[in-house]
Amino acid sequence: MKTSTRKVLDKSFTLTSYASLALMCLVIVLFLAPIIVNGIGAVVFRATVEHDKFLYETLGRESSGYREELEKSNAARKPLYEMMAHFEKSDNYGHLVEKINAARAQCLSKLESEADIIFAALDIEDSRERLEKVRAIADAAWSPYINEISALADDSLHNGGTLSAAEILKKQSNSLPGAAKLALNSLYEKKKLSFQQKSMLRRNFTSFPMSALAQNLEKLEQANAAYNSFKKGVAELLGPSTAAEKEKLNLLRQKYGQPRENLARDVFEQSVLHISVAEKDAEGRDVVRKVESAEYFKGTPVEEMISYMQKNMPQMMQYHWTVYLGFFFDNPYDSNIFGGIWPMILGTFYLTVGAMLIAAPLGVIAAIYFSEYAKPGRLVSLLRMCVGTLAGVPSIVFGLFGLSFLINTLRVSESKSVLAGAITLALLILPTIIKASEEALKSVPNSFREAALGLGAGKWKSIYSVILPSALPGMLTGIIISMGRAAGETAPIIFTAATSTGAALAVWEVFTQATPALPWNIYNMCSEHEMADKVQHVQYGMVLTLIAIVLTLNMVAILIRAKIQKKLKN
Amino acid sequence: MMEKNKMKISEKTAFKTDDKDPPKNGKDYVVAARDFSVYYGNFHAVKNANVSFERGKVTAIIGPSGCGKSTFLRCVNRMNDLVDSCRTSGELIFDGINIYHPRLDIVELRRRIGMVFQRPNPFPKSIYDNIAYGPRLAGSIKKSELDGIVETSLRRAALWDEVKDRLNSNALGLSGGQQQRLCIARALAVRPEVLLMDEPCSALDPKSTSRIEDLIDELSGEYTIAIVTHNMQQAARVSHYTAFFYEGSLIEFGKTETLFTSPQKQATNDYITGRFG
Amino acid sequence: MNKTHKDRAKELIMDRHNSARKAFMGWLGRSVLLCITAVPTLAIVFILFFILKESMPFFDNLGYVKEFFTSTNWAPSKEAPHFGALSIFYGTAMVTIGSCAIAVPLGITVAVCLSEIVSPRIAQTFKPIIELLAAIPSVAYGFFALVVFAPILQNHGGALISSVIIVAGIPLAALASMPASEIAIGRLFKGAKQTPKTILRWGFAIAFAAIPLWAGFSVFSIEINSGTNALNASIILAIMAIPTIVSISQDALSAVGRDMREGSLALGSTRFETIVKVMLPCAKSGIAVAVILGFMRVIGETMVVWMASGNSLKIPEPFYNFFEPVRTLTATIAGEMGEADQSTGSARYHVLFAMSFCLLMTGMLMNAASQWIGSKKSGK
Repeated sequence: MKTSTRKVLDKSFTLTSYASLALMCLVIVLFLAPIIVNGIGAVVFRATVEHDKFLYETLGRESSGYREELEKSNAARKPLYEMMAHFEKSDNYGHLVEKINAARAQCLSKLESEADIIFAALDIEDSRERLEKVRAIADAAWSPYINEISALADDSLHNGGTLSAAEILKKQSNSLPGAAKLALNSLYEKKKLSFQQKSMLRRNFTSFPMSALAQNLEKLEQANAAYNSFKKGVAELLGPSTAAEKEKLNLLRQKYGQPRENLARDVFEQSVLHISVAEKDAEGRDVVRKVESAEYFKGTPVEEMISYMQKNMPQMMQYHWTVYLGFFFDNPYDSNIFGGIWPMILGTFYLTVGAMLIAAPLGVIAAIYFSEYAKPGRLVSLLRMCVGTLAGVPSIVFGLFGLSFLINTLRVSESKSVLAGAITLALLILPTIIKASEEALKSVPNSFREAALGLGAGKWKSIYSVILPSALPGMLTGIIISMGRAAGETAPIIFTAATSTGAALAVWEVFTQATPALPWNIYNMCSEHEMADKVQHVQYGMVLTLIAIVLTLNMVAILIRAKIQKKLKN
Repeated sequence: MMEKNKMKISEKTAFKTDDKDPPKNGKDYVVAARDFSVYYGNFHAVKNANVSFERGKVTAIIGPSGCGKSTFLRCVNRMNDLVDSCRTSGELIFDGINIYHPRLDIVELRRRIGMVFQRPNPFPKSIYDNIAYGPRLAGSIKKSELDGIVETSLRRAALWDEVKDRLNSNALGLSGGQQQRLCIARALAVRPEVLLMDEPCSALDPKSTSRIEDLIDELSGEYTIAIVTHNMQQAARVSHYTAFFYEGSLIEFGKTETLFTSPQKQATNDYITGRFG
Repeated sequence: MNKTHKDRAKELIMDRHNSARKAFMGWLGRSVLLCITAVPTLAIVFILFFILKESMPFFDNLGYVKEFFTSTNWAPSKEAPHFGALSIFYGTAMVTIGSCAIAVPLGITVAVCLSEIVSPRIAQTFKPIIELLAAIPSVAYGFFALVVFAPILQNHGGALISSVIIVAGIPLAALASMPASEIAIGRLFKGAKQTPKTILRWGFAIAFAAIPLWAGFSVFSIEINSGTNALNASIILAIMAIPTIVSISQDALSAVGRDMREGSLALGSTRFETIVKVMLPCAKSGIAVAVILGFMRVIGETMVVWMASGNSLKIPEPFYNFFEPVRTLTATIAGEMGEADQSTGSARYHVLFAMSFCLLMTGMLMNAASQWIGSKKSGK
């Protein structure tokens, strides 16, 4: 090969390897950056007044400026609630009802008074002509009434009061058939009519206003359904409007509006600016469609509400920066939608410390045996091989072993418990501790052993007075790193210790109770939570907490190791 | 293998020299080896050595590297027990008892026969704790008493003036020579009868070496000292008796002046005149 | 004076009682230590025993076992259950191979870079950083795969993959073209003039570079139905396996020693040739151990595959389609044990143990292989 080609190959190989190193760093950054940024967002975020309301009412914690905030937001919300009340119910409809009833009475009496014309029409031979004539009469007779109700519907749609209007129309459609029947009966008294003629009259004179009523009612109800969708969105955003309403609700997520600005903006965009409307598609099936509410409510008072909300969102929600340290120390409320992650942190702590308390003494003693007592032989190499093999067992197998042996066979606890989980984790980290401790013991210079023995220390005495203290930092490194591993392991605790919901345990409960734990709840919350999108900040917060715990432990270990190396150099 | 060897030494041999062998030439030997051999597996490291350390005198053991001199010294306080493949034969007598007696209390033996190693090996503790380590092993001891022992030991090792103000600082902060004197002080603190020194100056600079040599000189008389060295001048300077080992065998043993001025054996002569080594 | 010395010396001999007691205490202490040291051994024995015991009811039924390894019909219901786990085995193999295909070359390259190319000081800085990757809990990787990576892959997967292929592939292809063109020149025209050679070189370079370009463009418009798929799981698992591979390979490379390296350089080899022809062959057993350990980490990993692989019971079509969701053994065990456990003793409970037995056996074989390779190396 040409020398120049070889050189190019050499250079490009160097470049490639630098690129791979850079790629690794890029991966680390790409991996950690979203987790750190969003994870911090669980603690430091733009809160709304609802967050403070929750803290004050549920946890009895009053954040600074809460009262003022509450007042401001209530003041900003008041016009909206007034508009809504006005849109829903109108008190000015009393006279309209009278007008409608008067129009109806007039129409009915006109029907009676025009009996002759009607009878004349009935006498027409040609059936089509006859039908048209009757219809024309009905149209003319009912038109004032229909005008009235259409006017009412239109008015309510444009000026508010759709709910009241719908009620009025419902009442009308309930009472109209009876009134029409009475009017028709008085007609029948005047002239004997055949059954067919009667039914034709009834069909035309009753169903005509009824269908007009139904049309108007449908228009109103459609508008009401759309409005209710909008109103639901507003309630989701702001929480219930009155205390009485709040009392009736069970779930915390319904009792409070959105506690975070990003969630509030999301809900505003998704459920207030857009509403779902039930429609029929081309094939006549019911479909729900998302439409823009501003477009949909154009020209109605709701449009005004929307624009008011758009303008006054910040006042209504009272956005402000907050540091919610309670995220780490509060219990979760309503499936983690509110509150913190304390039980998970505590559970992880119990599991980790428990595993360490079991594994560290065993591991250190085994390491002492291997490095100070064991003489090379078959037994010792078998023992060593088993340590290696144990390190290679997949973590999920530990979980199954814990389930079948510790829980189903030994019955260390009724069902899952922290104890069973800690034992399982201890077995998992035991090989790491043994290996690290043995390394640490081997690095203690032999001269220390000789010096201690030479001064008349027994074997055991020399081990614990000189060798162990010298090996301690190295052992600690191994123990701390394996603690980090125990804290982050999920598979072994799924069947032995973890539960997705539950309160923080007291120390004495660890022998019998299962606990929530960070790793398991992270899985649970992003795979099996009913509202996984709503609690993303909690998911990120938990992941960051877990990573922070593990990395802090590892950093400490690295620092200790660096210190040892520095000492050795000196 | 070692177990078997121990069993060979019967009750009788343990006290054999007690009555039969009075001190030779009226001299009082603290440690005496009779046809003493050491094996590492199949390797015969020390061959039938007959060496005695006279009470209160300094005995030097010289010889080229790998001649078995250190091995022999380490057998005296049974430090070689740490080596798995090591076994011994013959007798090694300490004040009339066999050091390899099966029921010997090794821990107590090592307190009576102290040892200073080739490289200074203070524990990574404070100077005070280093000295106090031995006395504390014996059981609970009063602080004032312990203070006394520490001071005496450090004075004996001629280190007191240098470290009295920083007894609580880490021993690893001392210089190499100071560390070695600290190790000597540490060994003295348990009040041994014999002090074994395994090339105590090989890791030190000449100045520190001469201080240690002065120290050995001061300590002789009070302690029985055995020093292994590959430095013949040192042996000549500090010792009363010298033993010359070569390829595992004791070639010559006698008064230092005699050995250095008129060696009996050709090998000794070659070695001290620098023909090999 | 003499007398007292001898009397004091006699105290050194313990009486029979004391001596026996001391020996017994020593033996007792040693035995206790031995017992504690045997805990890992006991654990291995118990794990084997219990996993085997719980899976025995399943293995006893030959009809089930045949179906287990040959059918893809997985319907672990109470009535008329089917336990065809072929697609699950296939998913495991697919994800494992996929992640090893990414992790092994990348890991070894990074290890070579750290031990041979960058200065020791930089290597000292980078090594802990890469070790931090190994310390991050697997559930965090799974979370990343599910919440961050899967949506990106689903929405911009084609563009992402094609840009990776083009950015990484073209330089690599151009590099590969060089030795190829050298060989071609050597075969075709020996001693010809410069011009045709240059033309040929450029031709080769362009032809080689066209391959990743074409591949990149052809995947650009790919629609990925689900962001949680075999590719996602493979990539994330590869990231998890890389620290193990890097760390152990680097140790192996560092252990080769300066004289080998300097010997090769002194003969006029370039650094690249030294690494490929001397360093890597010398460290090959250590690197093999690294690869096996990385492989073990991948195959035993639960959370990432559970969250990122999509948990679909079908064998992808075509069989190499990494954009399809798959399901692995570990994910099946983790996902189904919760339901199976409620009726302990059901066939479903035992089949999951049978799966974990397969996993355990694979893990132990791998471990034995790595120990064997390791011991062969140290025996040399």
